[in-house]
Amino acid sequence: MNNWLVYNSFLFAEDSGAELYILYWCLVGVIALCIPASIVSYHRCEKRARLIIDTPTSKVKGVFIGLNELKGHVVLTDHLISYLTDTPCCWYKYKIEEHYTRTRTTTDSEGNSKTETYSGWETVDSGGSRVPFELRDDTGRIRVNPAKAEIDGDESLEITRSRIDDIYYDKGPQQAISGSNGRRRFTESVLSSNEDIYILGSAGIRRDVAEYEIAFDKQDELYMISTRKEEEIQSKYTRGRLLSILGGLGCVIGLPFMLEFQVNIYPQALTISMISAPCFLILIMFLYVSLVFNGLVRIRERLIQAWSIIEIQLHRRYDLIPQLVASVKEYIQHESELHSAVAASRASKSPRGVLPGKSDVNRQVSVANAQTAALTQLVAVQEAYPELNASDLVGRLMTELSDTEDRIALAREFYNGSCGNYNSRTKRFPEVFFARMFGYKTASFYEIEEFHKTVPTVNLR
Amino acid sequence: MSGGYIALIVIGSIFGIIVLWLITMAIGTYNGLVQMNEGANNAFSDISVQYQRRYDLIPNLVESCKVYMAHESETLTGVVEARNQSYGALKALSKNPGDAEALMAFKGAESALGGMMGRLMAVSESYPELKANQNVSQLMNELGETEDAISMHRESFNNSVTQFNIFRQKFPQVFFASMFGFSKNRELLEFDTEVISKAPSVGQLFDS
Repeated sequence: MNNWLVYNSFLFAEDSGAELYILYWCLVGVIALCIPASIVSYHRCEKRARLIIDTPTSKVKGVFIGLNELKGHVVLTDHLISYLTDTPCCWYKYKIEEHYTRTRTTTDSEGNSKTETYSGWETVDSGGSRVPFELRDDTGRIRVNPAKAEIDGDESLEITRSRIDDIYYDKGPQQAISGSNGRRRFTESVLSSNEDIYILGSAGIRRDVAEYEIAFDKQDELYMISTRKEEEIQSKYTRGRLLSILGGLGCVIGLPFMLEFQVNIYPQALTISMISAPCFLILIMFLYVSLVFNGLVRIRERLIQAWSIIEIQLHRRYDLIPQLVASVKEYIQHESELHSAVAASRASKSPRGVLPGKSDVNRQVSVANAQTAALTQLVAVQEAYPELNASDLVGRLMTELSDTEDRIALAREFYNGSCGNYNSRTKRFPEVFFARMFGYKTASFYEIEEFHKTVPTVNLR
Repeated sequence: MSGGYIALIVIGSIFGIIVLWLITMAIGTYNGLVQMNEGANNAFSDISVQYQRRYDLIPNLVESCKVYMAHESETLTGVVEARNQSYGALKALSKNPGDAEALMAFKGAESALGGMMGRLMAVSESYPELKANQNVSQLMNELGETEDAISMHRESFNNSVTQFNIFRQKFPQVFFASMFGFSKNRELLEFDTEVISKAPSVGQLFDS
């Protein structure tokens, strides 16, 4: 039996053998690594594309504890200035690269030396920072804690400067790298005030107050903040999965041929490719099926969760409103009792005039008058505007009522959005087969009954 | 080395890798399920914490409002009464300026009024905004926040349960879940939909 691994170097000339040899095997290594990398990349892209499509968008006021998709703009709350451009922001990332030209001398096996030059960019400094901020849309604001988020900001700077420019040494290191050409490239991305952003992340409860905030949750499959639109991000991932498959396939087919260049392999490269390419595709198919199945599981459970959010808001209304009404009622009663008591006693007395008589009586009277004047003022305010205090509270009550109804409406909208996504997902190919097999029924939208459509009459008497 | 042995080693190691992968997967599934299950239990007890907080807080706030309202009534009507008394005494005095008893009565009434006014002034000056409606307004704030906190913790529990349910049914966890005793989905919070769906009638609430 022959050894099936035989070294064969007839393709490479003696004098450049060593270098080309290293380069060749590096290339083979890279191509070999690309294969698992493409599988991972495909999985990631497919999963994310699904997640973004399947999650309906929420309004800030309708945010609930769980995975939310929000759109709005940035409101800066904490202080942060970007390094290169001094822009007030909540996140920045910068990089400084320096251009170099270096020489390399190689000696081959015959003792001949060759000098060649190569150039490129080397990163000499990089960094970034992030602070909490708020996302605002037309229904309100919510705090966002960007720690551990994937942030994709707009590039605010990309310039190349030379040593005579201020920024070269102002922002860059004082020392040059070896072979420096005196040119540096400065790039920076920021998330600044009023930027339109897209967030996919979990809402949790803030530690300090009973309010929502968007923050990293370790159960999250994705926490991203991006200045791109949802459609753009989606298409990035759908393209990404196609590219991963094609790239991986290319590597799988190409690798045996590359190996064959240097190494005598058994069986033939063509045969290996013809076996490994379908294997690769089968693996991709396997991943695809598991992602489809898992996607269905997720979208169904999230739909059930969306329905429960409505119920929670209904319960909140059920508990809160009677308590608020009772408070206001108590106060109105208190106020009116007070007013009638004061009005009754005020009606019978008139504190005017100075009585003739002894001076201490006069003095007493003027003191009494002064005190009375002060009291009269106090009482007059309450009497002149008897509704003023109670109306503040009734105003509060009305605001709370409308806010409560808003939240219920938003929860219902979110449920309908989830329904729509669920139904379209379960009717799509290939999910439709799985849906039938595993009993995923069509979900029904939240719809109102006929009598609710009549316009209510406002009768204030 | 013959090709046969090599093939055997390759196949054996592939098999070994698969078994190792399955074991790792099983352990990961078990740990994940246990962790999420406990997370959901934790979130459930957090709701009870909120109920307890509401139970303890709200009655006290309501009492404070009532006490302040009563105090306000007392103080104001007390002042008005003292003023009335003072005028009665003044009128009596003006009819009989020389009457010592009338003068004593007037002085007494005046100092009583002074005392009452002093109290009212002190309260209004130290707490110019502290009128009963501020208290009730604060009560309404607290009521709103308390209910918000309860809602949020209910949502949090439902979310924990949803995460558990998703994890349990996903591939590949679905194969191991039953083995470890997690064969059913957990349930989200149950509410009496009939009861809570009705919009409260503010009119009726005011009348009752």
